Amino acid sequence: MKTSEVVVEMKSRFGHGIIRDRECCGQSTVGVEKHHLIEILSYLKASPAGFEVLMDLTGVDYIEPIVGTVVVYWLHNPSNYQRIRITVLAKRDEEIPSVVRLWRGADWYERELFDLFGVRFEGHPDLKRILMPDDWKGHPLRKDYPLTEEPVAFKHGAKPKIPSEIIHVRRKQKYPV
Amino acid sequence: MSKVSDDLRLESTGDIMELNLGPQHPSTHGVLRIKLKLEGEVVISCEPVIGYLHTGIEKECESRTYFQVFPLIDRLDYLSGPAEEQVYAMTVESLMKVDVPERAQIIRLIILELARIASHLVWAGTSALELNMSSVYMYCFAEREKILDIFEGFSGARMFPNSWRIGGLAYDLNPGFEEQVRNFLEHFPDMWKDLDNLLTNNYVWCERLQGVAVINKELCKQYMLTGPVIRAAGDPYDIRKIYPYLGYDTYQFDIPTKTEGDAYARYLIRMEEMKQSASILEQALGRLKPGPVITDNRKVALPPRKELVHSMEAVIHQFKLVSEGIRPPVGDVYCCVESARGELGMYLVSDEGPRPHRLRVRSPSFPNIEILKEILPGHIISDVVVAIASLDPILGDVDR
Amino acid sequence: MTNKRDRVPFLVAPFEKILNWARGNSLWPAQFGLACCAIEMMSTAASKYDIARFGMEVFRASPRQSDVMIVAGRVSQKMAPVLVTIYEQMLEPKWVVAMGDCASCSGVFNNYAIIQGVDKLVPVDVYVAGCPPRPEALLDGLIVLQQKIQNQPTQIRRKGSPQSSISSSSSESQRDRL
Repeated sequence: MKTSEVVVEMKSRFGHGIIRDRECCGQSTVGVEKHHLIEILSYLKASPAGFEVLMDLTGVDYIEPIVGTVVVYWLHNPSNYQRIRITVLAKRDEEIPSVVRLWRGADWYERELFDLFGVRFEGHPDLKRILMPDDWKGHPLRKDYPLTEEPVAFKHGAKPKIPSEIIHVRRKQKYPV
Repeated sequence: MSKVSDDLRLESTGDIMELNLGPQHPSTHGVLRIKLKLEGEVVISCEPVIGYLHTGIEKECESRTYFQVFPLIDRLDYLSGPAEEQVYAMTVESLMKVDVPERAQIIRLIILELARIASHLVWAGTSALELNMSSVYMYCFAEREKILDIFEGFSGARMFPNSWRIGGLAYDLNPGFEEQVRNFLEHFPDMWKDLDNLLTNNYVWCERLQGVAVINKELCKQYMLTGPVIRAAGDPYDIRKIYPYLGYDTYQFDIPTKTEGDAYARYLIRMEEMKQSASILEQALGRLKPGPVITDNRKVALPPRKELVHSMEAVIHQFKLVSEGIRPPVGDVYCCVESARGELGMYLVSDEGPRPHRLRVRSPSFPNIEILKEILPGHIISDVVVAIASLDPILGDVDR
Repeated sequence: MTNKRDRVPFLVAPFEKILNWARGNSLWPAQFGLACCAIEMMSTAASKYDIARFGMEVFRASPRQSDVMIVAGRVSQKMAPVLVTIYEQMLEPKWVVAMGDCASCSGVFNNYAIIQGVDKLVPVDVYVAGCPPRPEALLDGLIVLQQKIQNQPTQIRRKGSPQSSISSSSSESQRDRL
């Protein structure tokens, strides 16, 4: 089945669980509620939808308009090479169901999300840090975590702004997902 | 020698030893740490630990303009830098709907295939070195030097050309490039034959590699493996044929597949891929025609310097691009290429600012290391080195 | 300004020169290739830019058997304690070459994850610039190190001499001991 047909089928089946659905550059994105996440992903994994492979599991962090991390699942169908993106929002200190029982390989991806974004997964066998040292405080890829650059020392007392000071100027952040 | 024989099992005393194959190790292809639990020589369980090369590139990309990201992502998969640049440029170009001129596409393809051959040569050399065959290492690196000379002539740098731009390339080919590549292609088949004679039917090589680290299709699906690993398991999954880019669908080349899924099958596939890359290069060289190497869209690409003398608009475009950079529209897109290790993808989320909101690199080596915890138990400890080598991980990509 | 105590005793001066010459021309590097610079280090050890003509083709896996640690690549937060442990396991006399921009000054990366220069962790003798440095640049750095070893005023000190207790940099004081 093509992705567009799958999206239509999903909306008719899980109408209450689907928050948004949009398309950009030929790729469909469907935003779902976290309580229906496992149900929807299991439906997509089984035939006839057939998205049997989870190609990527990542997150995008926002601090406005909502403070939270959008977890992105990028699914791949190995028989007709169609792809679909499922997103679910996890606010700070909220837990999302883990997909390790559907795809064993999601284990390390979820650990990486916990390490870098602070998203907790319920049902994960061993949620601990993977990229940062075990006693690191904070979650680096959150938008309110500074880049922590070392300021460059200039002569004659000059103190130009470091890049992250220039960037974290309040500007309207658009919320595409 | 795949799973250990019953005799060895009978000899074990039941004591479990914990061995740390530490981050500083000659055979782990980078800074990878594996905590092994051994019973005699047999691995009972293993836990790979990564993070020793975590560079924070994804966070850093959020503080750089779209042009400044190029040198950062180059250094992720440091053996095939051009592949990273290509996938990033492709992602931004598809978000901004920018077309790349044909000459730039062919040059990009030539450099990508040369990088693939170079990466496979390093793989062959280091894997053989770990099995104590150091003359193979010398042969492979000597051949790779010719490719690095070609890169140096084109861009000035040996490993990271940094010449991709949004919409094309920064500059045209240097005179003598085509001759250098043709020279290389003339001598490459002999060198390939040498490598083949040294390794393919070598008794020690076959005994060490056959039957080790078998990965079947089901495991590939569960762990999202791609590249030579999935092709050795029998699935002809190659991004160049499935989601073609740079005109790969107009070139004639085969996708080698095997069914055994062990380390020897992966070796054969990589050797065959080098041959196929050489044939793609021949075809690409024949298609080079004079033309522009960067798009005309002045909102994306700098104007040529001669135009600045007599055109006010060119000066304004130059000023805006250099001071502000580009601003892709709001949206998100995922693009992928076939690097030497598998599907290398980038997911870009843009919020119409001069800097990416999020740039995620889907690296092919991350699941390759994750699967070690499932396939290593049951092997003896000398197969651990062979298994890691056959999966060809690059830790810069894994840890980002 | 050398006072009487600092001058090497007359009879052992040629011995000191020979010792330094032998040390400099048979350095055994410890393998510490981390990232992209490691690939250039491997190229230096290969046949085109042969490092064996300087006596350094033996890249020892164990730090206890090596003299010089070539830190090739970026050092992350998790790797820093490992680097210091490996440095401490090396035996005297030992030297450190910071190969590449990331090891010297963290290069292109200036963020939470990378230690800004290896000299925050271990004392460095030679910095080799480049991203990655060409094999010839690394060889040049190693030749500079050889010259430094040749010229170092070391070895025979009488016990209790002031030179052995003053240390201008920590690496100097380590080299003062035999």
